[in-house]
Amino acid sequence: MKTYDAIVIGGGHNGLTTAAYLAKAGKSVLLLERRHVLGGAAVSEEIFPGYTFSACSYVVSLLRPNVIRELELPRFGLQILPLETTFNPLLDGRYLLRGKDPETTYRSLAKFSKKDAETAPLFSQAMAELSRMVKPIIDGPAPDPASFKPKDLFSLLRLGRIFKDAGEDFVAAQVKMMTMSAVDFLSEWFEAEQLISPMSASGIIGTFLGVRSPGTAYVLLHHYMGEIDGSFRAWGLPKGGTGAISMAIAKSAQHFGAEIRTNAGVSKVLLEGDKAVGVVLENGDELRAKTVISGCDPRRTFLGFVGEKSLDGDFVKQIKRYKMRGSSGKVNLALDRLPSFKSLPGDGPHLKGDITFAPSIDFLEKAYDDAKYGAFSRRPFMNIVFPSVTDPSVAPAGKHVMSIFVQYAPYHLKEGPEAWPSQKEAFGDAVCNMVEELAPGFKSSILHRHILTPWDLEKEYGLTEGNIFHGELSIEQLAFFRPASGFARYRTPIRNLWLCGSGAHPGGGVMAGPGWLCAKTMLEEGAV
Amino acid sequence: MGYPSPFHERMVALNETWKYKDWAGIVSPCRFIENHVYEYTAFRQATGLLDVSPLYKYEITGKDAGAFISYVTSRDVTKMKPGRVTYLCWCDDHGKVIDDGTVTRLDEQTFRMTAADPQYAWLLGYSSGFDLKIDDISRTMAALALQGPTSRDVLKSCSDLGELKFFGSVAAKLAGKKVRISRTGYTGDLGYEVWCDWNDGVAVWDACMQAGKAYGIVAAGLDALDMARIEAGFILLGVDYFSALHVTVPEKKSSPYEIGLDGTVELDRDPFVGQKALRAAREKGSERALVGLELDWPELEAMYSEHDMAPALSSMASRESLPIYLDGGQVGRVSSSSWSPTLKKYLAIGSVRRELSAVGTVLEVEHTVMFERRTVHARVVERPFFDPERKRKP
Amino acid sequence: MSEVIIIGAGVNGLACAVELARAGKKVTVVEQRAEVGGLSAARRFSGFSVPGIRHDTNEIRPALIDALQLAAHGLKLAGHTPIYAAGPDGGLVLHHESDDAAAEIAKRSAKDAEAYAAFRRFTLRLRPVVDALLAKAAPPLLPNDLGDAYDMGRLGLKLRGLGRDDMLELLRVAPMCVADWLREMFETEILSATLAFPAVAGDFVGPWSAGTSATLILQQALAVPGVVGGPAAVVDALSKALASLGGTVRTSAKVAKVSLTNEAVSGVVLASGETLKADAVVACCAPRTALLDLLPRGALGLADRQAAQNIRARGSVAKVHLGLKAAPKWSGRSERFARVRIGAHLDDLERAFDAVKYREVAEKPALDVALFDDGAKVAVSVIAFGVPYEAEDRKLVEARVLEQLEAHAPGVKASVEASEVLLPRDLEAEYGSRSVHHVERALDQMLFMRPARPFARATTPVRGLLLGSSGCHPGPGVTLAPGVIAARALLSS
Ligand SMILES: Cc1cc2nc3c(=O)[nH]c(=O)nc-3n(C[C@H](O)[C@H](O)[C@H](O)COP(=O)(O)OP(=O)(O)OC[C@H]3O[C@@H](n4cnc5c(N)ncnc54)[C@H](O)[C@@H]3O)c2cc1C
Repeated sequence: MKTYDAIVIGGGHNGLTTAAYLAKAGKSVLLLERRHVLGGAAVSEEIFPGYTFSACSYVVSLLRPNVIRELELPRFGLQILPLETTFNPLLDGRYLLRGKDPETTYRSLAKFSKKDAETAPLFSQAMAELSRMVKPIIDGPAPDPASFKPKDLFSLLRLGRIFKDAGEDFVAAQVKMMTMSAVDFLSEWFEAEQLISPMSASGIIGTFLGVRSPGTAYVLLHHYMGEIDGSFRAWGLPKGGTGAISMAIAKSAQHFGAEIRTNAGVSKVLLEGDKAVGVVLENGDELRAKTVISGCDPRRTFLGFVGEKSLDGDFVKQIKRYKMRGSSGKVNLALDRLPSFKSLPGDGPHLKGDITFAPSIDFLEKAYDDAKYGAFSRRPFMNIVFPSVTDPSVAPAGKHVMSIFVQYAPYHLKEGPEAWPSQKEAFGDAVCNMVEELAPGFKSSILHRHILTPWDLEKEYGLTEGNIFHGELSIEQLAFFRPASGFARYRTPIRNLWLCGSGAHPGGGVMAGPGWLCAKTMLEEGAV
Repeated sequence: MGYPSPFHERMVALNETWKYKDWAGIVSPCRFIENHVYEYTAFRQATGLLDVSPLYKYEITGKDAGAFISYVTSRDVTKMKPGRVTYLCWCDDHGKVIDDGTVTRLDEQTFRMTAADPQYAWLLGYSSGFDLKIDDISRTMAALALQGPTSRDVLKSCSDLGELKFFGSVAAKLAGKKVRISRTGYTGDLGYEVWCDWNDGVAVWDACMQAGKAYGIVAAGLDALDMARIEAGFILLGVDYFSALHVTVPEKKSSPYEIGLDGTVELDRDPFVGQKALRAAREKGSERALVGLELDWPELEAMYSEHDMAPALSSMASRESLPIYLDGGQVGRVSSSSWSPTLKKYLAIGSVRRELSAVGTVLEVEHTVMFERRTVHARVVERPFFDPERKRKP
Repeated sequence: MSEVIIIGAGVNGLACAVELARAGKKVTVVEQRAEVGGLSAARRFSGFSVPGIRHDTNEIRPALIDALQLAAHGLKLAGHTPIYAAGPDGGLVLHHESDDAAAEIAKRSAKDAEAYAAFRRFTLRLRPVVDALLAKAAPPLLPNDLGDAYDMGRLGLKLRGLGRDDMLELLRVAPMCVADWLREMFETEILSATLAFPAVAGDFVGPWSAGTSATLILQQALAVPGVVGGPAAVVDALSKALASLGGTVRTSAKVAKVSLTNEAVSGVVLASGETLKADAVVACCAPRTALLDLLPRGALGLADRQAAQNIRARGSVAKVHLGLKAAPKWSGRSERFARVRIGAHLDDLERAFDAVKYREVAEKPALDVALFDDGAKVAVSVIAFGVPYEAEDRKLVEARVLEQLEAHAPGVKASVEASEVLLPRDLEAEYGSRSVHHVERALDQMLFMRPARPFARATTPVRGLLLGSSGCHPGPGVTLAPGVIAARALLSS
């Protein structure tokens, strides 16, 4: 039987990235995906004939530009279309439209506050400056603050240097960003709630937090980080859906010699002593490799594939308390026609961009309160895109697909997560009713409806508790704590078992950061 | 998406070139006919009519209006008499220039301020504790400049304008509309600016054009203005210096002393924004200074004739940044330059190390001839380069 | 001899004055109210009295009691007071000392009894770090000179002294929300809720807000037995100490402006128009007041001014004072308690905060109750969490508080003889701060960021102006530390 240099479990975009980098370095690599399609949460699926959906993730922002270059993704079909505007319909019939050009943005903001309209460019400037200095942190493995190893000290020093160069202002700004609530942070700059509210909403995506919860400010940085990558606009729609990214990476991996199998679910990591030597498939087959790399989330990897018994108690405790509460859902629709928003009727550039429905801070907080006490938001926060407007290839001519990302949909319902199947349709209705309120007549345009609750995300996509980022992105679960202290460098307590998914530093989102850094670390350390 | 000027319909009708640019979000003609020197000539020989509505404008009213403007800008305006205008700049807390503009005192408690960049948020930031109101009238008040030796005649024949001193401002009636006329401008010539309601713009334009026929009035665009303002030695935000609000690199910020605005800073008075830093800057002496330069024309001609060419210099003013050298080392940069049709000289505005800023100093400016980078000698001269007596004569 | 004016005669103002007077400075404390003590002054209402707006003294620094020689002026440490967490099945009595505490908790859950002991051991191991932090001005963000580097080094050593596991644990839990951390440790909800109360009350947070664990750690690591007589007794001892050192206190003297000469502090102007000269002023009132209301125009640059404006100090608690005919009888309990908490579930605290978020008075405010029993009648001091700054209806707040008490001690309502309600706006009007903490406790308003970065480490950009209230490092509570740190900063400059 063949012994591979590496077996990668899970064909999410991170697993694929690791596979591609290892193959590119000349290693023999086998990637195993449980589903029939590749991509994990970055997947395109023709759920209804003729309609292709980015079933889960729907926009890209932080896909590392070096991964695009090094894996030659454009050559394998990657094409990212710009998503330039942000449209915020309000409940009082007004709206905010940003991003078309500076003048339109200015005027749209000035309707609510002239002061804010003038402050907005200064804010962007300050954020770009901050993210420029933070970038090295997401583009390198996590530092270890309690270690005395020369290498770790060096990386701490490197961090320290970044801070020292930038001076106290920067450190203070950084502390604020890391610890403040999005609303408090933005309120230091802006006065108009109509602006603060949708901006703050980007701080809660994928978290079990509200916009007033401390710790939500730093996600704002991500928005500006994309800008300075220089390779594309902050936000983009991959042509053919987010799955196109995964497919491009897969093709690149295959080009470099990696072997990829779908419908090949792994049930166990094969251990010999404290060493991983391969995997056992769900159908019982055994496959051997010198290293095993899991692109699945930490819970599934350690408590599922490895098993508590083979792990040290303290580590198990850490993994068990690693928070993965899912809080989001998704409604994917096939539409007969585009909706017409009450606040800005008809067609227009606002339908080409990102539509964030976050009309007020209280609205967002009330949506969060529902979730805190174990129910989905009756009036949810929504992030909407119509990919078919920019990329007609995803729907039959004249028809459209609509992607609605919804918060909050807590995995842990009062009645328990198992109650989700019985609440699924009600959840879908709440979402559609909310859209109907903004765009009367919308409901009659729905041809097909596909709902993803956290329960579905867990069962179908293998995201434990439906957490879209393989673990909440709260401060205590970032950097050297992700997923467990002492194991934030892609290594695990099991020899030759590595972690390359979003549960590793620098975390979730379609950025390929963990996948790339895991491969890089393994290659540098001669682990494979 | 551009925003139409109050004179948009009139300007579009006249514009044969379809050349426009974005000035503060407003669609502004670069020129009306291909030969912009024709428009420039109106500024110097007759009257050029120029839309300056895109300027940002603020009306500040209240008991503390004077104290407030004095607090945030480089001058004490409380001493100004109603009906006077002053030119000034304003700085951040570190004494670095944010913008420059004019302040007009309408009456005891009312001032108007112009700016190149939006300053509403900045003004508001400092306003707490002052008893006043700040109105952003940028897009509700139109402004039309009439510049040139016959501009007084034009205005007198279409309005009730009487005598008006240099940097004076009066309420007037023009085309039956209430307007305000100030004897100010950006061309360095005799000239006026008419301020009126945005919606009265077309009527005011028509009346001026009608009256101006007898005095050679010409609609002028921004290309002509750029030439004239360089001759007049005026600096431009975003070209000759950068706003301290918008740059993050400290070296790109300037103190007023580094950009020739020394004269606008009244240091010894009640505390004002940046005072401490400005005091220190004045004591220490700035490292850089703004200079006017005259390029050596015969030398330029000679450089071209080596290639059997006539000097192929653009007739357009240039905003290209060019290095200034001395003995092979870079000592500064040119930020604006232009051929002066009036003086028949090639002029430049630039910034150099202070010790090299004395009138008469000879430096070298980069100049590219036939794809080859060379240098041409340039002499530091007085600014303004062109300063006709009629500009300030009663 | 140089003169120093101290604005505000709260415990920090007085402590600052004592420390300065001990070093030979001529000090004058000016206080707007008619009596000294600020939030710690005894509060009298209809014949009853409670010893302060804040009724806790268990954060006082014993080292500072010694340094200021307060024992000589009558200050005595008391024992810990057990807290009764009212709730179903007779609630839970929370003792501070581990053995008693464990025994009580074990009645509910043996696992939690162990976990509680571990939790206390952990917070006690942190005490040296917290002590080191509290004794001095906050460490700078980046060392500026050798002295800073030395201080930071010492703190670093203390941190290293914790050992790798504790240090990582500290780094991990500090930014967490108390709800997550407490639920990780305990299965008894009422235990978690009772411990969480002091970490959220008074701030603009609920138990689900990140960073509240840091507050809890600080509060737990600090806790010492309180003093006999409560905050008012501390005020009393400080006043006596100050008088013995020749310091002056002027009451009913409201400062209108701090005056500057040549960009340095030269004194203050009182609301009466009187001017007082000084070489330095230590503002021991709320930082926002000092920086935004008392400084003349132009004293602060735009960035510093904005930083001051951005200091968050929203109120979330009201004070309700009750005079009862008799001690309340707690359902399912026969004992009398001096301290009671109401809010048995973390969700109760969270819902109280929800209301504050929406600018409403909580349906069921969470309560921290101190009872002062003179044998016959009982004065009750209630901190009611769940009352926003916007609240205006005192009757409503009183009714809701009584409703909560009545639910756990039937008959209380009928025994009310006198009452008084202080809404956040009343606290602002009378004591000068809508937040009982002067500045909210939040991760970005802690240490070198408290109250805001330009004003941290007791100093300000204005020469001769220092800050020394609980809005400064190390923060609220009757610790005396902010006042003393400001005094020491002045002495060393
Ligand atoms: C609804 C939703 C919306 C999102 N929106 C965005 C967005 O707009 N922008 C953005 O940047 N991010 C978004 N995200 C987050 C982003 O999609 C994920 O963080 C990212 O795709 C995770 O990639 P991964 O490779 O780390 O893991 P995954 O994509 O989860 O990959 C893990 C793979 O392992 C496979 N697997 C599981 N079990 C087994 C097994 N036993 N054997 C073999 N294979 C197995 C799974 O099928 C899956 O393919 C969203 C996520 C969701 C769920």
